[in-house]
Amino acid sequence: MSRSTADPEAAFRELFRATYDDLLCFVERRISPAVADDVVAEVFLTAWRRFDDVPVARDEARAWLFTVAHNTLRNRHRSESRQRGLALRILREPDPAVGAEADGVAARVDLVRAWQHLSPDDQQVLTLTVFEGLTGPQAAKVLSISRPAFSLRLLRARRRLRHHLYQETVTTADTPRPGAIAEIGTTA
Amino acid sequence: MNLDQALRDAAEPVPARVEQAPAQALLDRIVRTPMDSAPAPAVTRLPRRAAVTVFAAVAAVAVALTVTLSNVGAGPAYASWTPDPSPLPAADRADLADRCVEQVGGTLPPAAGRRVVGELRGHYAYANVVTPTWTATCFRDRGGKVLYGGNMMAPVSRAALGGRGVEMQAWGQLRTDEGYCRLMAGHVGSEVVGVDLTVRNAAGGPARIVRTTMADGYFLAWYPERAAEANTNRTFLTLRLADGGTVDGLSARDLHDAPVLD
Repeated sequence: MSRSTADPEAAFRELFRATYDDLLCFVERRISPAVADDVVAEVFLTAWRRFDDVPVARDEARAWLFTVAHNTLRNRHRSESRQRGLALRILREPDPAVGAEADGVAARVDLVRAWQHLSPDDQQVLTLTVFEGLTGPQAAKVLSISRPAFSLRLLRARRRLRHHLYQETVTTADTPRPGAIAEIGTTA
Repeated sequence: MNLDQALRDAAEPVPARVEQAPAQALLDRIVRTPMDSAPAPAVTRLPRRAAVTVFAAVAAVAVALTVTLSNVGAGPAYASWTPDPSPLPAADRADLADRCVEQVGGTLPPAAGRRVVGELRGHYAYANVVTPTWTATCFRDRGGKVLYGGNMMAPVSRAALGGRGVEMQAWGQLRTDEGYCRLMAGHVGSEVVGVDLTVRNAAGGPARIVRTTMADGYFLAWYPERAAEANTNRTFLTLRLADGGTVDGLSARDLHDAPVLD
């Protein structure tokens, strides 16, 4: 779908306002906050210059920006990431509707610890789905892999997270709590 | 509660920042820059299965086109392009680099200690601006319009490349008024005196040889390449060594993923 060129600046400003926080969060999960602003600036500059290429649908435009950001980050980190994968931070976009503390502090600690045991690749696929809310096809496109490959990676990442979560739960409790694991993992 | 929701709840919340001054300043700065210089997407690699599908779709057409094309992927567009480069005069090189980097505004650190490698092919000029912390490519089309190709952060040092190492610092397609072209640039170790490219298309037509410009260990070249060829062409580097030997079969795409360190 092509964009109306009647007032591209107004359309870009609207896109910027709608996606800035999500994009900044996307970048901050993957790079030091000290340089996240630079990456975001580069991505939006690219979007402005290639505005005709940016999908009109907001959801698709957001995924397009994430793809550009992913490639930009990949270039920036290329040399160092060969030696070590970059762990992803668990950050949540501003959203007043979210924010439950239902599971309490202990469950959060278990999950965070389990998360830290995942490889950066596992963290990546889970982050794209869970925190960034991309569909399977959109996430596959960000990573430049096929949809079935993404689905498989996601399945395995969830399995490994559950496994680590189980380990954490067993380690931090006097007795195993398999019920808690089953509850958390039911809809993976 | 399911796993996804549990993860979301465990995440550290961050505040909204779009209405804050830095974001608004960025927005205002961006919309003041021209829209018309259009770096093309750094075309990402299709998964193997998709690439095969594309190959099947274009193969029949490509076979027919191969008979008539004399350049890599070129029709009338880029008609003056040549597989061998000509030198770009120093003043022209500096001007191209200045105009190109200017377009990036404040998104890159200051270009301290920069060097510029450039070349001419037909009516087109191409340059790679290299600093210790980033590199950026710049292209001037036949009408004199300067286009920003892209940049790479944290280039590998010469020491890390050793004798026969290679780092690909640019590997992407650029869209100009004449269509797409492939820009590439890189850095090689101390034993390498020249770099040639071999471009093979999916239809299995004759390979094209492109000679790169080489200066102080930095090399660069560009060639016409249609958007559809981004994932079907295969480009390999041949390193010519000071002792007369060669190293060939280095995939440009693989090098872009990770340099070879010697």
